[in-house]
Amino acid sequence: MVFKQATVAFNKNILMKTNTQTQNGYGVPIAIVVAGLLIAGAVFWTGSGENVASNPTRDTKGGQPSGQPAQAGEFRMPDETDHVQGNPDAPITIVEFSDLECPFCARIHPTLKRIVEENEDVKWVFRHFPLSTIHSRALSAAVASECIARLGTNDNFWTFTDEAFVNQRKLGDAWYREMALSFGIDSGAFAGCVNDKGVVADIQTDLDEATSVGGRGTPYVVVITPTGQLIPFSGALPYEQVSAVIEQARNN
Amino acid sequence: MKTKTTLIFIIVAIAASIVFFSFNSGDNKSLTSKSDFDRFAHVTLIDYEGEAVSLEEFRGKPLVINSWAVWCPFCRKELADFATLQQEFGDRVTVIAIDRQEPLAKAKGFTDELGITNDMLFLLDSSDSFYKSIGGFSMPETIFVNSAGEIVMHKRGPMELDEMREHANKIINKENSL
Repeated sequence: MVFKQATVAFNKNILMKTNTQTQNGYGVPIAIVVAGLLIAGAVFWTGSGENVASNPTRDTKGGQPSGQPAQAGEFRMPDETDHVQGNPDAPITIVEFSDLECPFCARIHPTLKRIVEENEDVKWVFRHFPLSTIHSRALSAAVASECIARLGTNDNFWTFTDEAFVNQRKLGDAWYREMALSFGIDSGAFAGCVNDKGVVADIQTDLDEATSVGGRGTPYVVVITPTGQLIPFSGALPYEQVSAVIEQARNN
Repeated sequence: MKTKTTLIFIIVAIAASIVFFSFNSGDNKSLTSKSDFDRFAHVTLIDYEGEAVSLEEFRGKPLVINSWAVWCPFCRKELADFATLQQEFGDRVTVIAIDRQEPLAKAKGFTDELGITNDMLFLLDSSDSFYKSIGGFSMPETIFVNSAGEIVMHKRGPMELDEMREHANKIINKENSL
């Protein structure tokens, strides 16, 4: 099949368009300023994610090195091992791969919370994607969250993530212990849990899953439609855009 | 002095109003009159032979345009189905897969591996212009464009072949559908 065709007509068209657009003397500089603001806004909102590409090596012994395709894996559908918020029987699921120290994850967190609160047909699953080479406390925060889930409750886990995202500067052993105590978790049991290599291994499994299904940075989100189709996206998308994805999932 | 300042203020205010209204009534009108196709018609890409290909060349044709990359597992999984779609629909639809910012060796290496390099049109987008022009934020993303230049379906996420066929049928004349 031959696809190549002449491009001369197109180039002429571009020139004509350019001439038309320059007829309004004041419109152009204003348009440039407005366009600049719009582009800045778009970059701010849609380009807002942290990329694994900035990690030159595997992080947490994980994180796909830049430029190397992840080994394609089957996406693991939510199961009883997942942390779930919202209606557990909801037909639409948001699976978020997140890093508790990542500012963009902190930005999308309230957005997803709002989406789940407003939509009975949507539930939210949290999986770990700590980018340890750029976030030194991401793994320890993930481990602490897992121990709180194991020694406390699912609600405690979600409260911890809420608090972690608004207190990212406080992340550290003292703050984790303080949070665990506030949930009534025994300090000795908590200390034992955070030193359990099995917890780290489970987090590593989440991270490997994220990269194998296309995650290149955080937050990485996969929306599962009622028919089981997947709609992935990266970055801290604004509420309106996430709502549009949910609507597409609903109509899928 | 005071009168002069007032006069300058009035002139500046009038000039600003003229610029504001001309901008709103003129430029916006031309923007809203654009078809979906015009959003990306200006994008020029590179084919596997290194030749520049403008999307403008495809104006007026039913198009299926897929944004993909080798790093994207969902894209890799569905890519061969686009080649099948092209074979099934023949000249009624042009199927184009646009690789996002990867070198020729990587993109072609993968399509060679699948054995589909010559089955449809593969283009490289080093500046990611096409993906940006359609407001992409998922991977893969595919648009189905009818001959009037309207995006009939903008699919975010991967598809099965049946869904591709369903959307492709929507962008061609009913009497020509499969």
